[in-house]
Amino acid sequence: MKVTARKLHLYLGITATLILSALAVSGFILSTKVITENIDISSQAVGDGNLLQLLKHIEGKFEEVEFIQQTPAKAFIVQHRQRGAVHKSYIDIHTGEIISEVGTSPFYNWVQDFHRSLLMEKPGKVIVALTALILLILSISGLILYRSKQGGWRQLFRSISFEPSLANLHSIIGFISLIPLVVISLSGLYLSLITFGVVPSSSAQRITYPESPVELDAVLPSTLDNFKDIRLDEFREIIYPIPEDWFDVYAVKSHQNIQFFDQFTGEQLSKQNYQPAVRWSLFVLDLHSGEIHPALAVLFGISSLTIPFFGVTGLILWLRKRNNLNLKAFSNDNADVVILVGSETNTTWQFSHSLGKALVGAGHSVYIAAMNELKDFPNAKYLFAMSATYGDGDAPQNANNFLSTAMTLSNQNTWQYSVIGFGDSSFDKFCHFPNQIMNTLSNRFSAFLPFCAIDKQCPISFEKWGSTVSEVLGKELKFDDVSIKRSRCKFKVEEKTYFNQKKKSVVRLHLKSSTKTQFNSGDLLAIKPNKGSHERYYSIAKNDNGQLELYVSIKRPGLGSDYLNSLKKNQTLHARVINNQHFHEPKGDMPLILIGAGTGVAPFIGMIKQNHSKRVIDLYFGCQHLNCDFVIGDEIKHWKQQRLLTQCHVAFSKGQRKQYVQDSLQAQETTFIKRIQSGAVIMICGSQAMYESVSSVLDEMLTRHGLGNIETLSQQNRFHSEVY
Amino acid sequence: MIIICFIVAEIFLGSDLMRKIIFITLVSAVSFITSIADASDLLVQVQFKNYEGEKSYSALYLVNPNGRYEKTLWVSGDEAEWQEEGLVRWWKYQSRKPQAIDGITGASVGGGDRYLVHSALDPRLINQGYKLRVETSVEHLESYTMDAEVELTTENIGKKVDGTGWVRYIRFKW
Repeated sequence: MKVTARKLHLYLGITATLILSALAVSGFILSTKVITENIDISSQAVGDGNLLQLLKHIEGKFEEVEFIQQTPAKAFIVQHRQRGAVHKSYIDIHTGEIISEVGTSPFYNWVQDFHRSLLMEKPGKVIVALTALILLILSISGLILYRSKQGGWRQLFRSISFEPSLANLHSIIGFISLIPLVVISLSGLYLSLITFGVVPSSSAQRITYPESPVELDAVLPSTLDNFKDIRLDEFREIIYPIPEDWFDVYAVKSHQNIQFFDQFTGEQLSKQNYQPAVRWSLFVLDLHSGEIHPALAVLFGISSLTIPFFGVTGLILWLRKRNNLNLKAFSNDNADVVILVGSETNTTWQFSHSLGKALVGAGHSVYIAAMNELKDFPNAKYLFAMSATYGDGDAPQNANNFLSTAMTLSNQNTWQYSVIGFGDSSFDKFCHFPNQIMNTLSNRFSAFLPFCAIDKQCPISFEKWGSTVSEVLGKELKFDDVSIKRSRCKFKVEEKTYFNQKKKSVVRLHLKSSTKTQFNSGDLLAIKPNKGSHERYYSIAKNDNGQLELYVSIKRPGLGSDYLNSLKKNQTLHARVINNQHFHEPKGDMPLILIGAGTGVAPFIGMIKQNHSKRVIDLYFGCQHLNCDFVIGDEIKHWKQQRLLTQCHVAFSKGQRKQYVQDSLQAQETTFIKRIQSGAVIMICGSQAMYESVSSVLDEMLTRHGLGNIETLSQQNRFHSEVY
Repeated sequence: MIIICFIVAEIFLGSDLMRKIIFITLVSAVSFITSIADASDLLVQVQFKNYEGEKSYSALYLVNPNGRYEKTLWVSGDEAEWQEEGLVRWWKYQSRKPQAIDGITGASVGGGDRYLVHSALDPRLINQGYKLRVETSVEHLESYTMDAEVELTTENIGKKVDGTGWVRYIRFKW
């Protein structure tokens, strides 16, 4: 099912995008007409008025009236002749005065003709009809793809990520404009069917005009009393009798019926109700053109403009996939390292490229291919399987044969494997498929690295894993930076403070971006200490002054910390902000349990300082010593007073009592459980060691109280970690 | 007439060859004569002026000696909504006296174009006071309820009669 929807969406999109975009743009232009009919003209205050009053107001103002119409937007139009020439004017129904002429710009007429038939008459109309149908299919197939991406119908509205990647924009904007586009395509299709006579038009019903029985003296329509029974809020049109035909009658149309009146006596001669099909046709035309309401015209107009956007982005995404990075250097399948990728997006390929390049740099030969290319690799020593999960726990399209092929591999394969899974931990089936890979491979082969999961493409996790690979292979690997490419920004060091002037173990920097770069607490700052080295990441905080706060531990020598420590006040720093969405402050009013150690408390400081909604926040902070790195010491009292922070528990590992963060948590078990029961979200930031100790304690407490464990919370999007 | 001939021929089926040949020749001759008689179809030509704009919708119809609508001979422009909106007078006539017009509807006609209409009209209608009238309409431009009109008289046969709107001229012959 997914394959068909995707192929359908792709091929229809490619073939129809030009014509579809042309129709969309022309449609947009036409919609602007409805909007530019200004308020003087439309939305006439009809109230309880009747037709007779209207006729009285226009009496004597027009030479020869042919008809009077009311548009859905409540504008009133009179078509009349002046010295033989026809005119169409908007009138004010209370004064009968002309407000303006109904404009017939040749440009607009041309656009209308183009929109209806691509200027090609009947064959053009067929193409337009087909294109409307294609738009409908694209919308529905797009919805199916979106459902797959989100992991199910019930997840449709969940976890909508606003990551500014092309693929994401294409699908999010597609989802948002789904309903307007379906309505536009369906109504457009219906109108085409009217044109071809497949569906009855508004003129299809056999309406019979009666004749006046007797010719009397001509009278003004404003003297015909029966017209006072015609309410203006139901009135659509009155067609005047043909001047040369004395026997002709007045025809008054409403939405429900047409009535005929004798032009001399005003007597109602006959009446016919409109069939539903006729009413439908009128409605659909008013709907498609947005005439029903200016707001609808605006909505449809804007939705139409998304179509060329989809065409362009869709094309780029498709081309990108086809190009799949420059993997020519990795095309020798006799290589000693094989990297197989299962991915629906470009990002996982980027990771594979980064790994491949690093391995080549360390003297290996590398083969990179899609997972479906799995076969016997007799020369390979290591096999990396990098894969995402698609939708409801399924394999990505280019990996759907992997598992079955894996079972049939021969004994020639002597490689060891490593599986790395990419995904989003807020989904049920996070890394479901990569886990299946692990299970399948472990039957016959052995792993040289444990399973690794990368949440939301977190570059720190990948970097950490990279260093594990280096260790195991015994070679230094230099990885290219893989993250959403954002250009480097300039920052100015506004403040630089040391905690404990004597020991100088932690420095805090306040940075101000000169280019108004957007960032949030929990994001990462990527810094290149010097040209040759690769980027270091630091968790950052945002404070109330809009400054970026950075905490650096300078106890141990390190390129990053040395570089940052060397900065002076007012000096410039070039760095990249990485949008680290999974570690932003969770939206809502549920309590937060923030657990951090050392400089890992940085993002939490930002969240606490910006806790304007005064939600419950419990902070568990671990550091070495009161005098050494107790960076928040001075601020705790203030935060509590301002109710930015509810509880704070500090553990000093080198203090009098030798406490660790997990000890604080255990001591506060009652409060902790209470918070969890109120729906609290846990966030941990710190070293791997600290993470392991803390998470085992948390797991234990949760299980004991029957609240599940960390994995359960993770699935509910209530557990986030940033581990160095 | 042809049917009668064939029935008669059936009766004579059993007779000898000579009679058959004579009879077949007779039947053919009669058919030929009657078909020539059908060639008294009315032929109307409507020529449009050169104009810039959309293709025109038009209705060609017969008006009786009382000046009242008789019947439609041809409609150019096949979408009902445009027929109703543009050819107002004719549309109302049509509604009072319904007529199956699918067989006599053609495509709309552009500037400088023309159409030719064959109509099985009894030639004895000539000189009786019947008229041919053309009503025209071009979207976004003008509509003429009486664009061109010509009386069916002997002296008018073949004569180009000027139109007052989109029609340059109309002429007919039998």
